[in-house]
Amino acid sequence: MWDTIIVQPFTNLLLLITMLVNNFGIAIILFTILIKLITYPLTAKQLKSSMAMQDLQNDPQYKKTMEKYKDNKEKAAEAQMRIYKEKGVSPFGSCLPTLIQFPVILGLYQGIMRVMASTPLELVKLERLVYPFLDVNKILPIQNRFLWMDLGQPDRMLIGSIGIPILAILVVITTFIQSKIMQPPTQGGANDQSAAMNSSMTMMMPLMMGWMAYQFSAGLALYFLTSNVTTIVQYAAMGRADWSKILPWVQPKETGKITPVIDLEDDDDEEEEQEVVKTVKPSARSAAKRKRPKRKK
Amino acid sequence: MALLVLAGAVLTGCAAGVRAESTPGVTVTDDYVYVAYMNSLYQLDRLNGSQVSIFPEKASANLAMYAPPVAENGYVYFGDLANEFHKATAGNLTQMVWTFDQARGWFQAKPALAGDIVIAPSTDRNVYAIRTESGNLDWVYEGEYAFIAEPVIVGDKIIVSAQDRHVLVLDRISGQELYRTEMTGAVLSAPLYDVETGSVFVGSLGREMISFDLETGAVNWVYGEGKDLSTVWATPILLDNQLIFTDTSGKIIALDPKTGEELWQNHAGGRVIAGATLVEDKGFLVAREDGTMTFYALTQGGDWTVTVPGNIYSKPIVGGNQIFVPVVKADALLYTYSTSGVPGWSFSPAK
Repeated sequence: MWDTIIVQPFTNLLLLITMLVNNFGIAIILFTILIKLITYPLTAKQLKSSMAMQDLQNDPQYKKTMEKYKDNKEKAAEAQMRIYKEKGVSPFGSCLPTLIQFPVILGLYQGIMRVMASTPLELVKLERLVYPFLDVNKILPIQNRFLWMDLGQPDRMLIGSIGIPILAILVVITTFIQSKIMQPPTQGGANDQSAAMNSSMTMMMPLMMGWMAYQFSAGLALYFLTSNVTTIVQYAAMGRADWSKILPWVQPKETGKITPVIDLEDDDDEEEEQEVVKTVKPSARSAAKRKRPKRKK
Repeated sequence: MALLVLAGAVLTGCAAGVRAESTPGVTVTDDYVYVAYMNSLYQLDRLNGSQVSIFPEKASANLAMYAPPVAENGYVYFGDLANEFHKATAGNLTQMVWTFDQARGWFQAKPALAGDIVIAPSTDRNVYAIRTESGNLDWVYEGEYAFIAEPVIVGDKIIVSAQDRHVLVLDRISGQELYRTEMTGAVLSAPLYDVETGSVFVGSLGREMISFDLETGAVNWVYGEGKDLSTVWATPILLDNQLIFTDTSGKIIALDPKTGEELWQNHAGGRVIAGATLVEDKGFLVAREDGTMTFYALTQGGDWTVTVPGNIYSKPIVGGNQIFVPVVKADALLYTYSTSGVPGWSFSPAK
């Protein structure tokens, strides 16, 4: 079932591209970019949703409400849902696109692994996956050589007698860049824990991906690298990349502005004065749905 | 980010440890049976299947072996997926004589001994000739694609199947390519050499079986065009002046080895990857992918069929009156039968 619906179409698409460009390395790159483009609307939706959630976490009104009901979980949840509704933010908005993308990523990975068949048994299995209109005899053998790499083997560029894992190094760098520019802005207080987690993830993920790229075949590492670069480009195209996090000479992205406190709450807030707070730029949708603020004198 | 973490975790889980999937590589000698599978090479007593020794002593997730070893004069030669090729003492696999580590690809093919060198094809596109005494490299032939089939040694010539739609004939002493015979598809199995006629027979994924003269390289005949043949994965056999082979659809075809003329055709009743196996002077076996193994006797009434509990992708091996069947997706790695189809011992590694 999984093979028929997900793996088989991905494998055949990759084989078709390989036949067209007659180069497995370029086929992996094109295939990864193509799948990333197809899933772009989902990625964009997921990013927008998670950004809107971040906006909300930093919203003074939200913070104030949470603080107010910190001893009453039921009321806090009720108020939280009310704010979500008011702001037009869905707490599950970033989960669904993620869940839909997950089988696609797995299918992409498994498709590449199947096409890189290197044992007779793997070749038998690959032959069975190939659609009849793609003549297996014209496809096999697949030329695994690409630039200095053997895509079926872990990448080591020989410099003298030392094998340098160029792809693994590039995967570490691009995963780090990706993690860093996608990292949400750090805030104090309640977000300390999540900021710490994000920070350790930014260090752990590149190492984990780098280890995988070092250990496994170059074809898979090439996929990791292409995927990372495509994600960075997509993120930058959405205007969400904060390059100042990795390039010190770049001006930090504008993340703060003065916003008036929005009073959705009870009368006991009346005595409060206008607060000057920093917030992450709210999404267009949440801004449009926002209630007209009341300025208090 | 969460997606990346989740995908990373799943990918790590999927890809950790052994990086390739294959069938057990089995070699049978007078006293022992060697089984290379996943993280170990097992040495078994041929009579009862009990384990004599194992390499390595402690299994490592980073080491995998599928290539059948070759054993001669008290030594065993075998390669692994960690790009190393070893010579060990036949009585105890952990007693290593030397290890050759200059390859940059896996050793998946069964090696072949040619006097004082061992020929080891690798997936790094090279065929290595290693000196049996020292483990030093004698020569290396650089090809275009990964080599996964066992080479055949005939006098001073080495015949190697290549995935790049060729059969190569190399000089045993220098490793120089003498000539190559063009095929229409990738050649995944070892060729068959007929001493009597000096011909080589080999099938390919190009839906063909060809015969060429080893001395001159001249093609004798090609069978396949307009014959509704599927891909041919396995080495053919010669029996009773007939060249017998199977295609993946399950067709069993007999040709005149001199002319390539079709003599008869039968059907195994299911997909066949492993091909036909010769049972000397008695007949031949055809093992279907689904585990159904049939013996076709030369004499009438001698046929039998058994169901091996597993999938068969590599040729059963016949040694004396025993048949050894390597399987996957089964409780055991190896099942044995007598040449009359009576089940014998089976081997499953200790957990």
